[in-house]
Amino acid sequence: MSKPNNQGGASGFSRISPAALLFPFLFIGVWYVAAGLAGNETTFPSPVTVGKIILAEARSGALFIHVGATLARVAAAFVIAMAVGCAIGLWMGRNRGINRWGDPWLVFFLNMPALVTIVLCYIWIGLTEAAAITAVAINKIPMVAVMMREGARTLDPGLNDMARVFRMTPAARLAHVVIPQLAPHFASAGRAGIALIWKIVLVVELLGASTGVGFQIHTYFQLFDVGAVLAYALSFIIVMLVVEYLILQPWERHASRWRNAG
Amino acid sequence: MQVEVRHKKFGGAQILDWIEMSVGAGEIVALTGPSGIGKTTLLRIIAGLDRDFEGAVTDPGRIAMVFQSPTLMPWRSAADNLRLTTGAERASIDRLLDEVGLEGKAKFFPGQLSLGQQRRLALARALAANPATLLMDEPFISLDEETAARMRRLTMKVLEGRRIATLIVTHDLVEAATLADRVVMLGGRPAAIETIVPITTPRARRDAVTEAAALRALTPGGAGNAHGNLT
Ligand SMILES: Nc1ncnc2c1ncn2[C@@H]1O[C@H](COP(=O)(O)OP(=O)(O)OP(=O)(O)O)[C@@H](O)[C@H]1O
Ligand SMILES: [Mg+2]
Repeated sequence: MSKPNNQGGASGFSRISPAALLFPFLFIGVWYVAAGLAGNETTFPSPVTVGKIILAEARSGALFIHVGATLARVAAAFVIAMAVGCAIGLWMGRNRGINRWGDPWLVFFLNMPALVTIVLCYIWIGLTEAAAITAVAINKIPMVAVMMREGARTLDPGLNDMARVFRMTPAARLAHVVIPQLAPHFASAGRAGIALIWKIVLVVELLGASTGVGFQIHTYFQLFDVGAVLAYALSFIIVMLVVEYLILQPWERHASRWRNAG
Repeated sequence: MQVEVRHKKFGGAQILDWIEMSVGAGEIVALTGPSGIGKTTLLRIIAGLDRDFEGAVTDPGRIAMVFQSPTLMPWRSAADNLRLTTGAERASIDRLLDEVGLEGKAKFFPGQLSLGQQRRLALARALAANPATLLMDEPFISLDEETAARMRRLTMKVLEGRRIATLIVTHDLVEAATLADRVVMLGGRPAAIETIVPITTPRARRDAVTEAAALRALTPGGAGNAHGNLT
């Protein structure tokens, strides 16, 4: 039952599907045609114009400063949200009493609009980096907790008995029994998380930071420079695509190779 | 290994009544009884998985269990399934895999093994733990008769010469008569020991004929009246 695309070469690149490889060309082609039809370089610039802006921003170094700042915030918020969300989710999934008390809180925070958290964090903590990252993490934690709680509920009791009978150490149990079962839940929480987090980070930057892609988009929006807005947005999307295809997916394939072996 | 259960309840329902039995080192005892009587419950008590009962388990030493389903870690290779659970050395893992007929399969994931092979891996894992007490819960169920017979012979062979107190749960009276030195039958509600039948034929000489004789002794209306000493 092995899938043919799992038998490709050893390098990471050869496993990216042709559809994914072709996507940038298709995207730019469609964009080029659409921009040509719109015929207004100011409100709908062509890929060539945007490409030139990206190059200019890269040459001046501004692009790397702002994309780097946003990436750092995304990474920090992601790590915090995953760590705290996993801890809460696993705790609630394994303990019925905690779950009963914690569930309404979870629903409350799950439905809290991102904007409210951000504004309150800025007011209560101040216009600092810590406030920005906290705000993003708080937005993401409930979702991670819910997904990991599902994972904790589906842990195989048979394997748990096995680990107890054979007196596996807590560390060995975690590494070889628990984490492999949670890995798919962790991966989908992470996957959904990173997409959500970077969008919230932009809002946070727009409201109260002086670096980052969100800040730049805000600045260029006020100057009505659509080309620069697109240049920054696109640069960051490219970074995230690279993260997805060169880091996340190869890692997931490695972690789930036992499924496809055979 | 000795176990004494005064009673065991799930919620309000009493499942086990007074049960006392012991299994000596090198001895194989078969535990039988109708479905739902409490065999698995008793095994889980002995294994220390269920502590909510009145009574005591004495001297079990190191326990290993062969579960009704193989219960392997599907994300770890065959060899790692032995190593990570029992801490066995590379050399003894290779020897055990040979012994259960899984030579050359060390790097396979459980999903790449047939059910019979997974069962043998679970047996190898239990032996790798070097247990004083081995508990087996219907280890040969849902295998075709030929494979089950092969597994039984294999189990006998690997238990031969090891001083392990083995308690094996089975529905199959032929299986009980082939494997065990003693057959303990549970019955009643709440369950208690109904009959204990010693199998006196030496293990090496148990062929089809003696099996049939033992079987007659075990079936109701037969000569099975050995309400013997509990030890
Ligand atoms: N966790 C539990 N909660 C409540 N009742 C239980 C639980 N586990 C088992 N029982 C009950 O205890 C009784 C004995 O179950 P057990 O699994 O020990 O039977 P068994 O002899 O192993 O049967 P089988 O041969 O079908 O495996 C059954 O009536 C079952 O419903
Ligand atoms: Mg059972």
